[in-house]
Amino acid sequence: MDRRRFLKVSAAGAATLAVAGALGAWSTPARPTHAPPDLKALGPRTWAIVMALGPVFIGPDLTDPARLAGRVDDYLATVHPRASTEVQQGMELLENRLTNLWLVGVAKPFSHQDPAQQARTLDAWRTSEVALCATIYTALRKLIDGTFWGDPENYALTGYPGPYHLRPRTASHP
Amino acid sequence: MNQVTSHADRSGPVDLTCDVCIVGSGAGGAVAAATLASAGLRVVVLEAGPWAPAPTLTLQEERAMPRLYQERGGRSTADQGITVLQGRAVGGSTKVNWTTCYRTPDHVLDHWQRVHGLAHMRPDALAPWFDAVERRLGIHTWASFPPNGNNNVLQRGAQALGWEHHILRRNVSGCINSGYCGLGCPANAKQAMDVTFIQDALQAGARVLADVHIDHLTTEGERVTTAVGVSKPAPEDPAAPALPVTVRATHFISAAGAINGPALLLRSGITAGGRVGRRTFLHPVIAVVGEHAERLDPFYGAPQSVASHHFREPTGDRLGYFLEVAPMHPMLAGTAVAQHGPYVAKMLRRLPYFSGTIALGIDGFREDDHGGTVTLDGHRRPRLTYEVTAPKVAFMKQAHRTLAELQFAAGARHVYTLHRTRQVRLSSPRELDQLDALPYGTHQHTIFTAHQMGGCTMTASDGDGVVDPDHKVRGTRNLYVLDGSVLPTSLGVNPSETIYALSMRAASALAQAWT
Repeated sequence: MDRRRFLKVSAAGAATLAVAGALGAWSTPARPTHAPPDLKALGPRTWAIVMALGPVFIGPDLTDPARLAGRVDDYLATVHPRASTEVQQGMELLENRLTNLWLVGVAKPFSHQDPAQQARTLDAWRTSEVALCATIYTALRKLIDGTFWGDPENYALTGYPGPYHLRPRTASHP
Repeated sequence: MNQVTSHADRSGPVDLTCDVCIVGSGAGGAVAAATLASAGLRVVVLEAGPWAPAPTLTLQEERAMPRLYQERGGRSTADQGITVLQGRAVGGSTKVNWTTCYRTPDHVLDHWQRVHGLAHMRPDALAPWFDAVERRLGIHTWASFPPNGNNNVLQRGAQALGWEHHILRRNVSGCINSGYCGLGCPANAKQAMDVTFIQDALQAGARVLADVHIDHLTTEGERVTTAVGVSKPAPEDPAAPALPVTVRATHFISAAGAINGPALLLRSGITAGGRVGRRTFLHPVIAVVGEHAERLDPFYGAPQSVASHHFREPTGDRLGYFLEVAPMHPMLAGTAVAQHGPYVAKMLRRLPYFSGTIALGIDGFREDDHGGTVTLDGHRRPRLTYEVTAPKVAFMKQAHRTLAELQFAAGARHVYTLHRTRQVRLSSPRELDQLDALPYGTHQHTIFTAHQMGGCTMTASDGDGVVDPDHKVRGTRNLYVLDGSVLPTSLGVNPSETIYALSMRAASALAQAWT
C-alpha cells in the first residue's frame, strides 16, 4: 500500500474509531467475570476485557487468566494515570460493538464473542492498515505479552532457566 | 562523604541553595557533577529515578524494567511505532546500557565541523577528554571471555561473508559475564555512573538526590533562578506523601537526556525560537532472529561484545547502518515479536537456540533528515514523534536482508523477521528474495531505539540550534545542557562515551570560569 492510500485508510478508520469511542454508551457491558473488589487501576469492565484478551493474546499457555489480569492491574497502578487511562481506552475500543462491526462485521463486544471469533477479531486488529488500530494493538500486545512472558512462573515455557545465579553450570557459564 | 539520598530519607520539603544545580545523573550529569564539585563548587544533582545499588537488583525483567526504565519500561513514540529503551535511575541510561563504548568517529566530527560549524569538534582536541574518561571508566577492548553465543553468531557470520567486524570496547572492571547489564549489573562490574563519577562527586562534597522529578525551571529575564519539582515515593509505595522540592542556584545544567531534557526546557517556557525538541535522533533499530541447532543461551554472557560497521556508508536513497546483537530475556523477546498467540509461544519455546541480531540506522546526516520531535502532551509529559521516511524505510528493508544473510552464514536453521502483519520464517538462503516483497517501516515490524540523541542541538550560529559551542542555551545567561541532547546528529556508534567526553570537556571549562 502506498503512503497516500495508507493515510486515507487510516483517516477513515480513525473517524470510525472516534465515532465508536464517542458512542461508548452503545457498548454492552463486558461479560461478567467476578472482578476482585480491590482493583487498583482497572475497573470491573476493563478487568473483564483483559480476562477476555489474555487467552487470545497468549494462547493455551495461559492457564490462569486472573493471575495475568491481576498483574496487569498491578502494573497499570504504577504508571502515569494518563497512560493507564489511554491503554484502557484502547481496551474499550477493542471491546466496542461498532468497532467490531466495522472491522470484522460482527456487532458483538469482544468479551461476548466465542473464542474462534475472538481470534479472528484480534487478528483483524493485528493486520489492520489503520494506524490507530496498529497503535492500540501494539500497546495492548506489549502490555499483555510483556506481563505474561516477564512472569517468572512462565520462564520454563521458554527454556530460560532464570537469573544468572540459577543458570545450569556449563563450559560457557561456569 | 555524602551519600545518595532517596525519598524515604526525607521527612519534609526540600529547599536547597547551591552554586550549580544539575538535573539528571546519567552520562552527562554525573561527569559534570564530579568535575564541578572537584573544582570546589557546591553541586546538587537531582535525579528522577531511584538509587538502585547492586544488592537491591533482582535480575528479574518484571521488576527491573518498571524500576529502571523510563515510563515504567513503557516509553515509546506517540504512535507506539518505536519502543524507546531509556534508563531512569541514579546513573541514567548507563545503569542499564550494554556497556559498548566508542570514541566519536572522526568522520562524524568532520561532518559536525563542515555542516554545523562546530570547529572545536576535532579528534585531536577531544582526545584528552576521551583519554580521561577511558581511564576513569576502565574502557578497554574486552577479551576476558569469548563472545557469548549471540555475539558469536555475528562474529561467525561476518567472518564467513568477509564483512568488517571487531571486538568491542566496554566500560567494565571484573565483569563476571552474567549478561544482565540491561537490568543493572549485579556485580558492580559495569563502570556505570552510579559507581564511578557519582561517587567522585559525592566524595568532593556534591549532594545527590534520587526520586526528585523537576517540573520546571523558574526564570527571571534571561536568568534561571530556581528548579522546582517534587520528591516522589516509589510507585510501589503510593501511600507515602510527595514532598515539594526547590533548589536555588547560580548556574543550572540540564542533563536529563534527549527526551526529558527538551521536555524540561519546554515546561520552563524555554524554546530557543521553537527549536527545543527538534532534531531528535534515535538510531532506529530493526532485528532479525536466527534459530540455531546449538544452544546459544542469548540471555547469558556479556550482551554486546562484537559489532560490524561494514554497512555504515549511506547511499543516495538510504541510511547507512551498523550491526550489533541484543540480549534476549523472555520479556524483551516476547514483546519484540510483533504477533500474538501460539505463534509467539512456539517461537519462544526455542529461546535458548535463538540469536537476536540488530541493525541500527545512522540518522541525522542527510540534509532532508530532521529526525523526530519532542513536544509536551496535555499533561506536560514528553511526547516523541519520529517519522520513518523513505531513506529509513530503505535502510530497514536492506538491513533485514543483511541480517538474514548473516544468520544463515552463521549456520541458522531458520530466520524470523518481526513483522506485525506477516509471519515470516525463512529456512534457506534461497528464500532471501521473499524479504523483498515485505512491507517495511512504522507499524510494519518491530522498531526500537536504545540511543536517544539531539533535541537541544549544538550549533555555531546564533540563529540555529539550541545551545552554543560552550553548551549554553541560547537566550539564557546561566543554563547549560550537558547530555546527549546536544548532539547535532546521531553518531553511528553507541553514544555513551561521546557524552562522557563532551560533558567532561564542557564542565572543565565551566569550572574554570566559575571558580
